[in-house]
Amino acid sequence: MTIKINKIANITELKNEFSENGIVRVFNFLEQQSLDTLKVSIETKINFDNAFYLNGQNQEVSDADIRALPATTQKQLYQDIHRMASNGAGFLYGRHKIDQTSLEEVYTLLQQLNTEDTLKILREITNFSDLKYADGQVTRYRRGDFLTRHLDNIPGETRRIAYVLGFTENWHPDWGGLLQFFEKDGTPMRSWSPALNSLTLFDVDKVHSVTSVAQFAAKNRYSVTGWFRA
Amino acid sequence: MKLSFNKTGNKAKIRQDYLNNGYVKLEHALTNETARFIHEKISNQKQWNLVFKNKGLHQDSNSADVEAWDEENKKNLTKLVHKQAENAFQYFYETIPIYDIYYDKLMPGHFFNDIVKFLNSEPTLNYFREILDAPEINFLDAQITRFKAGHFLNCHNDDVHGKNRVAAFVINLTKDWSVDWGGALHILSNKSEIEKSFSPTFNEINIFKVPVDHLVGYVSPFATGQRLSITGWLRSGQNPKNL
Repeated sequence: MTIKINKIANITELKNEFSENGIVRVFNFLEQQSLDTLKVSIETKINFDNAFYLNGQNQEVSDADIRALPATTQKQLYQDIHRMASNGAGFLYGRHKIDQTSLEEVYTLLQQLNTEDTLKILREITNFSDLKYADGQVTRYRRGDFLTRHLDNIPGETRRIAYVLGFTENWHPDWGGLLQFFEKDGTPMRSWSPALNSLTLFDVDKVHSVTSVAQFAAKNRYSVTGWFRA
Repeated sequence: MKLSFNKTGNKAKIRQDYLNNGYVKLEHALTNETARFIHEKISNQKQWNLVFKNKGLHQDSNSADVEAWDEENKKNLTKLVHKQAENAFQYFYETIPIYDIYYDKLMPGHFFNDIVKFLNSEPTLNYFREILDAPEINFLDAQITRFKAGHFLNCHNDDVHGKNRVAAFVINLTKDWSVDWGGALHILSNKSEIEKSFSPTFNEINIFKVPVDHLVGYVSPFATGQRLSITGWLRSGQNPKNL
């Protein structure tokens, strides 16, 4: 299966924007047919695990396993996750780690992000000459899902640039799910509403969050995210 | 207690920012005593109106009454509100209509009246006229608002025919808010992208030109604080309640 990335025309512009802000968006990233294929696959074919932070550690539980819990246990689980979140720690969203066992089109996308051509452009835009490879996961934010403020710059890891490739069409900012960036003191810097086929790139030193998806959001928020690493 | 503004900011710069961007933030807007005094009074209020739309019509409910409902009824109300947020303008938050309270003489002697009198005084209006370069401002209306977990005010542009709204203002009186709780004021560009976000703060005023699309982001279900503000519009023309 072929997955194609569009030729990026405005590299100088993107490079300037990234150098100024440490954040930039590349619109119209995938070629149309590739986008259509992936969008349908992500919306309908992927089994997500629910990732959340509880009892001091990151956990992952499948939709089916959560459904199998007694209602009171489910309620307690979400209450516990929310209690952590109210104090500024934690997240809740669906994820699927991309590897050879993933759907072919999804794994091919990750391979396309890892071609020398793509990496070369990414190095040029971000000025990180040591970018070597990208990892990836598909994420799903449903009503009530969120990711509190954090940095992606984990000591001991070689993450340089975080990326978010949007697969949700016609999202409305009323629905939350905004990728929000902050100054170190918590002042909002900018907020981006999910945009289909846009590749957001940002320096792992940027404080960011995904705002809670409203209980009236008309759809799920899907994206492929990960890090370009040294 | 005499309510007053600080007016310490650089007026020329404030005006320039407002004219360039269509919005501006006034830091340390009120004197510390004023901000503290109003905050203390507001945060102790028991009576609020819970507002939302049903079938396109604005609804006011007594928030304390709704709070006393059983879980089933509360859930049904939330469901109704959310259902109608999917494809129409919707909101869900609490207010105290202090402009109406003052001009309709609903609560004589209450401190709410002092806030409206203070905001509608000539020195206050002159200050806004000057920093916004808008001599046409003639009066303002105001309400106190409170957003808690699950509340929101979806995208709208404030442009209501005949209201003569020059600019909207939000006097932030929120203490101990975590930005992870949402409830930010998001101002949209004409391409429907978020141009600027303001998290709830204490003693800052956000002002933006009308009309512009904006929204108050959904407050996370795990928010434990309350987002308090006095909000309203700087208007030209005759004050219809003060003829």
